Amino acid sequence: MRRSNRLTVHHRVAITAVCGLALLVPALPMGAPDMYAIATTPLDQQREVAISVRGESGRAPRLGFAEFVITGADADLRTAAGTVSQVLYDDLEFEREFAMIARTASSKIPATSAEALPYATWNEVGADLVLVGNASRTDATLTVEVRIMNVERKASVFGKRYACTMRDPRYCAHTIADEVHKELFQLDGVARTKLAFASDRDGERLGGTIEERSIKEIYISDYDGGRQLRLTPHRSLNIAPSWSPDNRYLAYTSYTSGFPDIVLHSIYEARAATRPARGTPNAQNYLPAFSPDGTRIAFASSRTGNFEIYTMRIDGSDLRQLTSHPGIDNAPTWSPNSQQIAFTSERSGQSHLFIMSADGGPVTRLPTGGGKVDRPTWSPAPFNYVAYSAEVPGGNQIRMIELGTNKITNLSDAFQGNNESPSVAPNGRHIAFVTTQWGKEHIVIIGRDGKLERRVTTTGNNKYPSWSHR
Amino acid sequence: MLAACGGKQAPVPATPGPPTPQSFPGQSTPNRPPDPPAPVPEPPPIILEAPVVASDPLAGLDTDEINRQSPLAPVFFGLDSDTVDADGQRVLAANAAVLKQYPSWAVTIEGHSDERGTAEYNLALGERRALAVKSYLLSLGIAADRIRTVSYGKEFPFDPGHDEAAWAKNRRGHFVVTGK
Repeated sequence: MRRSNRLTVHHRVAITAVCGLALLVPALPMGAPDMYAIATTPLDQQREVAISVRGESGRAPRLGFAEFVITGADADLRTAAGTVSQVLYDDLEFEREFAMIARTASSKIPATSAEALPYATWNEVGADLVLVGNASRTDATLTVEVRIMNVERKASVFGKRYACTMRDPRYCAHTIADEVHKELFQLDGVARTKLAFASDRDGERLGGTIEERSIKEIYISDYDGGRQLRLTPHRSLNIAPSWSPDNRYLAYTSYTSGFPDIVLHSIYEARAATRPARGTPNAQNYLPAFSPDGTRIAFASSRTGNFEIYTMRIDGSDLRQLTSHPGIDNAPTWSPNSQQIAFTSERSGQSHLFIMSADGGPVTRLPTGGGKVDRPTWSPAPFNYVAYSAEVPGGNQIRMIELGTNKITNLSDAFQGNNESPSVAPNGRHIAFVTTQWGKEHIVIIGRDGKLERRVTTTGNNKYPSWSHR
Repeated sequence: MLAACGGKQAPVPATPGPPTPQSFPGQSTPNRPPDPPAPVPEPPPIILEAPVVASDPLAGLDTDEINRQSPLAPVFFGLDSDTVDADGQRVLAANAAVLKQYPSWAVTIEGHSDERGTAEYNLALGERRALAVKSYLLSLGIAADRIRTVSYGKEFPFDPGHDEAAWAKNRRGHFVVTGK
């Protein structure tokens, strides 16, 4: 569905380009809150975009962010436009392709149309480029025009009109950010991706026990932590979500039945969750991982009396046991082409990372060094690294190993406490993980250089992050 | 009367019996059947250590109430260990005696870990601890079908602290009576 939805968007773009008209198509629900099409219309598109953006030195262009011009005095529009501009600023800052000029530094520059842009003033605050926005409204349609102007050439390097919906200005901003990154930098941004995770934030007491235990439910949010939404109503322990490649299902471990089941949960439809691997007193199932081709789920199960790696079709059929070793085998992750599985194993003594065929067979150890490591997470194509957690004095730290060179990079060393459960963004540039830096367990995002890019959660304990696909 | 001493025994249904002739105080009943022979008194039960059922404080309680009294002590583990040590073996010998005393009880052994180590690894470690406890109980003659295991990893610490005192409490095989 994801692919066909993208085709729909591109299709509309093609139509508008041919007709040369602004097609203000109302947002169409596509079965999922975030999966409707936003109609886009190119505005006076420029050639030689890359040259205009990059400048001579190759450094990141400094982007000034003008206050949006709001056409109309309606309060809802004002609120929506404010959300679009702030989320868009944050999205553009996140990928670090632009050096963003702080909005406080330019807040006194009056909002104007692109034609009336005070270039000299923007030049004074150091802007190479200025993003100019205009928001207006017709009924439920929020129309946002975005232009990015080259200050030196006084020319547009990006210009599009977006017919969004008033009820979802965040998605409008995320769409614009992804298109800006794609057109100006040939970069697949992640502004429209999501995170899933487990949280005990609601503080609801677990039933069926005399102990004081809080339930953990599965939540989803925008990649930046916006719009956090509880997905599951189980009132039990639910952990370790994994996205289907079409972003419409989550597989996770649920203790609802009293034993850990692998549950397959439709995110956008009210339909009963299925349990392709049902827990029993003798078969308990943990840590599901959707294959990137969407056909199978890998997981760990103790059904032989010991943790081994299994895969099954998503309906639970064709169960295959891939490992058979008295040491713990755990935490499977798929290669981007679904042909291999990396996992944690104690077969060589301590926990180390191994790679095997998705059909099982011989294993190869990843040279992560001597210490205990866990939770391998294979980066998406075309990146070629595995992020993992490594035990260090006082906790764990996130690292990555590049598969081509075996080069190891420490990622989370700036964080105190315990840092674990990495999940990689679909563009390979960001890693979400759990940190106890602030006491409780919270989800943060860092870049591959270890820089803190977002703190995603602020309440409760939050763990097992899983980054959606694009 | 039966219901009063049994706790869980089914109450005697008030089924209508055959019609009995009406009797009046002080009047003999000519059609009355002969009295049954007087029962031979049984020897009084020999009380060992276990209390007789009639005075059993756990009789008549539901499983939550039983669990609040913790009749089955937890087994504690060393760091990153799933070995039932000598202390654990003593605990399990006592637990096995209780389970033999209450042959109808079914129990779930929850495997728990402290907060050190990853969440993923601790799911496996908790599972190993629960299975180690189960395995030892089997060796003491407890039937496998009475014991279920589940791992909670580090998700449900008993002590939320971040020091060795808390960690020692959280590395455990925890018993829950789930059926009686």
